[in-house]
Amino acid sequence: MIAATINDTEVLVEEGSTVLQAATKYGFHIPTLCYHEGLPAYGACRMCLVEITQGASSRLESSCTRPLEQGMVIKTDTREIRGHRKMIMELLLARCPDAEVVQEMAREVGVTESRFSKLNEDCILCGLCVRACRDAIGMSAISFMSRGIKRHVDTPFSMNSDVCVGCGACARVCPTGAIRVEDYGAKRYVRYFNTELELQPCEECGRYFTTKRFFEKNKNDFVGADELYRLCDACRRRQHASMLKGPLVNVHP
Amino acid sequence: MKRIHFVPNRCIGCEECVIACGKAHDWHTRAFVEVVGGYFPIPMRCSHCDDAPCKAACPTGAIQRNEFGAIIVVKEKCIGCGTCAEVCPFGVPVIDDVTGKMIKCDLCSDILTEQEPICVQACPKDALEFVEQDEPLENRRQRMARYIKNAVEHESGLASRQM
Repeated sequence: MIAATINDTEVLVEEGSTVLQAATKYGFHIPTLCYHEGLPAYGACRMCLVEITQGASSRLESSCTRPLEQGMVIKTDTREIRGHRKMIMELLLARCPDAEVVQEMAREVGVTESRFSKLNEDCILCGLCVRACRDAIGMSAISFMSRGIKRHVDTPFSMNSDVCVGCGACARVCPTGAIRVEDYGAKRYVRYFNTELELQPCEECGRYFTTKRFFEKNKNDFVGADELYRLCDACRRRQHASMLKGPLVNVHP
Repeated sequence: MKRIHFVPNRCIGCEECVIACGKAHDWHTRAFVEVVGGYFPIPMRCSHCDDAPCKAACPTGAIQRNEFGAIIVVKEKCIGCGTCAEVCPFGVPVIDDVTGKMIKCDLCSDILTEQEPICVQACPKDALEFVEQDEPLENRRQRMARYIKNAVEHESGLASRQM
């Protein structure tokens, strides 16, 4: 266990916790845009900056990436930090003025108008989609491209990805809704990444329930070649119900 | 550790459990009733498997077992990839399109200290029972034997009537 001080409160958390986790556990709110509990921290948005004092030196660090150390003195809401957060939100508000999550966060930190020229992008470069694809799914179909103001998320050469499995996790973790996954007919389109995939139909009812590539990946990784997994969720339930019916109650024909 | 047991022959397929579950969970129901063989309803819910494939397959560790022995989805950790839906042989986890997170039966863990799960409460025919999982094996064998006896009696009754 590690003991530290957050906003004049003594905290005691398990070893390996980050500053953000410790603060959240003790009820201190730190605003974040790029943090997801299920994915490794990345420190992209810098909204979670806190003031960390160790010994005589004091500095601002992103709390999501900073492991808590013994004897740290942490302040989560000083005048300086508020100033930095306001600046970040002004910049993000100029980049993505229409994104709901950005507007909400800007209101939270007290920013209503940005003094910078607007860009009308829909991606805030939080990297959640990149981390979900690389660290959770393990496919690395997308990554950050270019540098500076041209930085963006895309597939290699912005071409139809041949490793993307079309699980849709990137779209579901995207805080601004920039990535959209749509199914039309027998194809799934990942609009933001110019990617299209074939869908897998249920062998019983013909409903498309996943993509062919995701089906193959799960077949290799987890389920094997069982017939059952070729069915959609509703048909799996029906299949199991009819399997239960036989041995349990042999009443009705 | 308590589990929801299904008593065959008592279910009338009214789907009260489905409605009650939806009502308690913002209309994202986690209970299902499947009608097989034309008119034979069987409620299908999460089994909270001992060796849960969804828990093993979850890439972010969002699917965990809680203190009641229920397999639950930790919303904050779920990225909505849908791997659990693919690997569940019972077709139980379903992605909620609004929040983009997986939803599944959590055994009503939020009310479990005081009450039974909402589907068990709602069942008008007591077809769902919330019983201790580690009941003596002998009791379980006797219970199953009773079911089979009832079933056989019922079937022979039907047969004699047909003759």
